[in-house]
Amino acid sequence: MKRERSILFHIAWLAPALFLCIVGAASLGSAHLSFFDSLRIIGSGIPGLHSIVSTDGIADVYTKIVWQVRMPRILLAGLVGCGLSVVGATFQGLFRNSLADPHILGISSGAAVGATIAIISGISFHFLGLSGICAAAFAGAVVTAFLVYRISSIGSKLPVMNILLTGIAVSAMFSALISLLMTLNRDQIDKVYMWTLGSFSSASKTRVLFLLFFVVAATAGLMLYARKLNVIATGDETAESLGIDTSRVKKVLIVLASLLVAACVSVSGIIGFVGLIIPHCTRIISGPKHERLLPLSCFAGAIFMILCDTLARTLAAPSEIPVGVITSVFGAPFFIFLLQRSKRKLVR
Amino acid sequence: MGDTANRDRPHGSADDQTLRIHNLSWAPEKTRAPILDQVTCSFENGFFYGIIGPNGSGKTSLIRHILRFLDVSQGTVTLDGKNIEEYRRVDLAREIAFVPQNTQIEVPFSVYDIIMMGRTPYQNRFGGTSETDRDAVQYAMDLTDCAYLKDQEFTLLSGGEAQRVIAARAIAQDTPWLILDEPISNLDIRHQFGIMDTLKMLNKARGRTIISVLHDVNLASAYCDRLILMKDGRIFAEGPTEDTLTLDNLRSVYGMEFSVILHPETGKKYFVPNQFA
Repeated sequence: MKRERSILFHIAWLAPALFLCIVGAASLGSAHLSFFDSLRIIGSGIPGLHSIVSTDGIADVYTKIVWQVRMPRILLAGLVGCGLSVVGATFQGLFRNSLADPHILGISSGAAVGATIAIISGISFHFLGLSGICAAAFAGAVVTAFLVYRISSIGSKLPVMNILLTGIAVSAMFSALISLLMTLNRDQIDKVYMWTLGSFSSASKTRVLFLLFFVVAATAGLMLYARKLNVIATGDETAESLGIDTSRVKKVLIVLASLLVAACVSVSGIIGFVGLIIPHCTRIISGPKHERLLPLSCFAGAIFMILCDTLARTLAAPSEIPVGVITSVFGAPFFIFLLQRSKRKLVR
Repeated sequence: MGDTANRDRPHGSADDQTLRIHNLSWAPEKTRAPILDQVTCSFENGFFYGIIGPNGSGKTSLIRHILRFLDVSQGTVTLDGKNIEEYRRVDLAREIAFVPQNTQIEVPFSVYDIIMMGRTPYQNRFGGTSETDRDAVQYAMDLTDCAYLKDQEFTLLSGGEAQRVIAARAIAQDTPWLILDEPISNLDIRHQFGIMDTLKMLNKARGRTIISVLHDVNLASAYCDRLILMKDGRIFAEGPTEDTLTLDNLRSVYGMEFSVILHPETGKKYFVPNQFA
């Protein structure tokens, strides 16, 4: 095993890569901008750089397109990618299961039920500046997380197998419920189906801020437990014999991760695969320690999702490909390629 | 840290540094027969204890209660006069280290990382590893002959290597009590003696109390000061090894006839099952 590089080394190349992705993504679209114009527009919008970077010679309309149309969408995609990846990494460690992903506890299905009900009933209310569908999805997700948690806990313990199986059962039940609701409301099938596939097309500044809050708060919270998560990943009883209150740590981590998934899914729908593969890909450079894996997954997830969403909105422009399709169609072969290349370092 | 210890009264008064189990009973389900049936025994600081008995006699369950993997539902377990339920887990982890039977870990941590996890009870959230941590890990690796495995992935180790690394983790935990559940079951004969010698050294030179579940009667006889013989969830016999390890007791506990032969060089007792005829 090679000596591992400092995490700062990896952040030092991932952060600029993320920035370049954002700039590149902002330059692409129906109104085409050059990469450098995009760079200038974004640079001029960053506080502190305003005086140095000028947007002379770029039409105002482009500035508007970049900052009001493209950036919210790009940032939302980045945040969702980040959130799902961090949760995926946390769940894989916590449940000691390489197949764990953010949707495994049925939280996303719960969100979908909430969204479906909102779509079908046609309610239009706003909550904290979020649309009714988004708010209903968030509520559905939180209620589901609570439900799964309550069903699967035995006394003060939370057996891993219990929570996984409960999540899968609840997930199956809700998927069936959504199918039923769609069958009974055929005129809305299209809308419900498109929601579940996931999209960033309704990105807004409010949604970005809403999700930013959850990503920052939950990731910071999860990071506090990163080292304990390392020990728990080697076994619950081992962790207990090493002084960790495993039940309590599990609860805290599940609550934080569930809230983050709920927030991600409510603003973007159910985007699969990202939360599963990004942690595995990240482990190649970070190794298994969670204090390295979690932050690096943030960057990798954000970059991956921004790339996927950019493809989703440009490949078949003016129509859109669901971003969930892109994450799987392009992500899966990439993942298989990595799997073949470094079999030992990924899932075993 | 204790230096060379007196065998009989190694550490001041035995009264305040004792692990006492009183009337401990436990059944996995209420309707099933109890796995532990009114177990009462005590472990005094400074000795090397062996727990022996057939499969299903309750050895592991007893240990799991001491380590609080199982809640004490009936009876009491006290350490240094204080009920173990009242300890914070981290405080208990500074008192008792544990080497489990099952050493499987799926996450590809390095051997060094795994042993360093033994220092968890002394580390805070943000602080890195201290000089003391690194010294303790190095010491544990030296004792268990693991230093050369340091940079390898734990998941790629053989069963015996893994067992030694887990023993090293417990040693790095640097606790007055060390509890082991069949720590040598996967080891080759040389490393079996290596680990037992290490435990003996920790016991004699550093005053650690060792409690180990063992299957090998002769290893128990050679290394343990005191034995606890378990049968059907009860303590069948407890006391100094020479008093408890008798042909009668072995016959009663295992339901097998044994004979004693004397080692031709040392003259020490060696228990041989009569099936060896």
